[in-house]
Amino acid sequence: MMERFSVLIDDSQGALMRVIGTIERRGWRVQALAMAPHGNRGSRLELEVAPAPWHRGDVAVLARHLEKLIPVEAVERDGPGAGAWSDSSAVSAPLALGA
Amino acid sequence: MTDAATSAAAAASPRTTTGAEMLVRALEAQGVDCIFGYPGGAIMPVYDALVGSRLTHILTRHEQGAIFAADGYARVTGRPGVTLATSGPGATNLVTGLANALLDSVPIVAITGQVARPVMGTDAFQEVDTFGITLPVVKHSFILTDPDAIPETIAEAFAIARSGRPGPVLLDLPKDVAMATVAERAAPKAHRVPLPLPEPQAVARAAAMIREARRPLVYAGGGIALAGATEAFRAFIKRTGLPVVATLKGLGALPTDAPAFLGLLGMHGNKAANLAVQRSDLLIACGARFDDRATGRVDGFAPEARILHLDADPAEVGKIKAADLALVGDLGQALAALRPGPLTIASWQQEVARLKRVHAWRYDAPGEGVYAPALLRTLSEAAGDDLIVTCDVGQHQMWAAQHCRFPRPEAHLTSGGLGAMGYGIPAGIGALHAAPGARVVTVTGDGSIMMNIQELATLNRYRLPLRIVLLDNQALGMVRQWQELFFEGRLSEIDLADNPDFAALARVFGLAARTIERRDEVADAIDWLLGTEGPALLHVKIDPLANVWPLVPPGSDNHEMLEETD
Repeated sequence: MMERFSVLIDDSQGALMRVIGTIERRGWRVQALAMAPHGNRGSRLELEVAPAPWHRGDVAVLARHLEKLIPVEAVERDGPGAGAWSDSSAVSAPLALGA
Repeated sequence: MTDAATSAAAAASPRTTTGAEMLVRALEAQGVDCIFGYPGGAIMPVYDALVGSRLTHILTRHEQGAIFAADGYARVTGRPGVTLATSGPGATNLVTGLANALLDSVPIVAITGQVARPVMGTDAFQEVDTFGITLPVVKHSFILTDPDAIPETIAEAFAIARSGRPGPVLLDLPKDVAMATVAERAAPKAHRVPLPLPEPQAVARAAAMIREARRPLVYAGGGIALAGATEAFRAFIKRTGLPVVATLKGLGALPTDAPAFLGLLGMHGNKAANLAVQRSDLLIACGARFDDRATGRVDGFAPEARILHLDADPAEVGKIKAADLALVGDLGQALAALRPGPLTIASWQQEVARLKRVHAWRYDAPGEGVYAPALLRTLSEAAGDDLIVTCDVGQHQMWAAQHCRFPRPEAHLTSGGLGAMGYGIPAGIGALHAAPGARVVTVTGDGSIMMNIQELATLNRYRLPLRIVLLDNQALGMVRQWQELFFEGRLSEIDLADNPDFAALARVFGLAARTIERRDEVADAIDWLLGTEGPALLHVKIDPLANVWPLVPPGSDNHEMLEETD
């Protein structure tokens, strides 16, 4: 199942490697990547990723792993309902999940 | 020149210093008093700047020993441990320690020397891509390319290491940056970014979940101590009466002697703890991450329970087990706010009390040889409440977790997530610097001790009163146990019968040492160990076939425990 989202990063050392490394390490494969300048000193990464076949692939968890990275300013879902991840998927803190 | 002319000149041109000097001042401004390291070519400017500074430097005999010592120091003090190493092999020798700190969420600031900026990328002598090698095992990292940014970058590194979910931060320092001339100025003070407070509505929902439950159980993890929430946690347990199980790193969050404490859960947990989890209808995870060693088969873990997850790290929510409700943020504040009122759990409390009574550890194993669980129990009772136990990895580690008393979480330093053999002795070195005068015992095995045996020289150098209990079964015992149980008894590369004479080896390093092998020698040997001045090693020969029980086989549910058969 392909997932599409954008990651806004600053220009600090290793920012791109940290994002790609986290995606791979957490069980996903990068299928497509476009990178463009964003704001004064940052970049916008547009990504298509797919979970490894043995991975259960919860993209909300992946988004939260990415948001923890220091250079990551935001993770945004593309396509319908574009914008920040919905509140119910709990990307922002403080947060309450579920029921 | 007159005095007035001198001060006028000084005002016109600010005093200058070196990048390395500014780095040392910046460490002092963070409140660092003690650093653990090993010098070498690229880091020499920093070692030069250490001369005459307020920092105490502890020279270990291997960089891995240095970072494990910094880790032990951090776990006991709650402040970042600092380690210093040179480029190339110095930096690569830190990798295991960085991974250990990442998996166990320990605040560490590691500073590595690097070759000068103009030769970076040319395969210069002792050049490796330290930044790249360490990317997956740090919380964050920097290459200090701008000499003028050193004070702010150090302050940022400390803030990242200790804020939120703590972790290791690496600073790679090129030699020419360390030697550069910079304007002297005050370095920023220490700060910590506070975690968000829990939303009142979410707390109210959590309290309602607890009120509705009939078999609620608390699953306590290492995050409680990391959040500085031990007191808030204990107050929460006291006012609710909820029973508690703990992970390896959660041991001591509630004193292990407390009536509400059922024991360690998971693969080598005790039966009462595992059965209680399987029976619970609400599992309240406090600073715990559903690690596979705790859960067994995830789908079969706490199968009847709703999950309430309290954690500092949003990425832990739903990573392994979906939460019905999560409170993400400051754990101490969340626990203080969580007041469910009177609970209907009297019959559940009786049920788990019965489980605890029925499945209490027994120390009446037959035979005349030393029974390791009984020795560890006796030792921790004799040593008293100020004891800090540091462990290596393997069977002895599980016996220590099962059988030692832990009155507080900082009393148990263990390599939980990474499972790094060689952790115990350096962690003990760090603990003794963090808490001078504390009673620190390292429990190790004949496999593990050889992983960082060189640190016995560090004990001797600083005459650190670390007491080492070496449980020697002449094998890689945990691997042997698994080969017996899960590889049809085919033993492969686990025999260590050709070990050195450990007591003689310890004496060569300047430690006092003794060997025992009979049960009737234990009491006297423990008196000797705890009463000896300076570093000491008690070499205990145990049954080479002893196993750790109970054991949940990999891929099984936690109630499917294998137990000792007669």
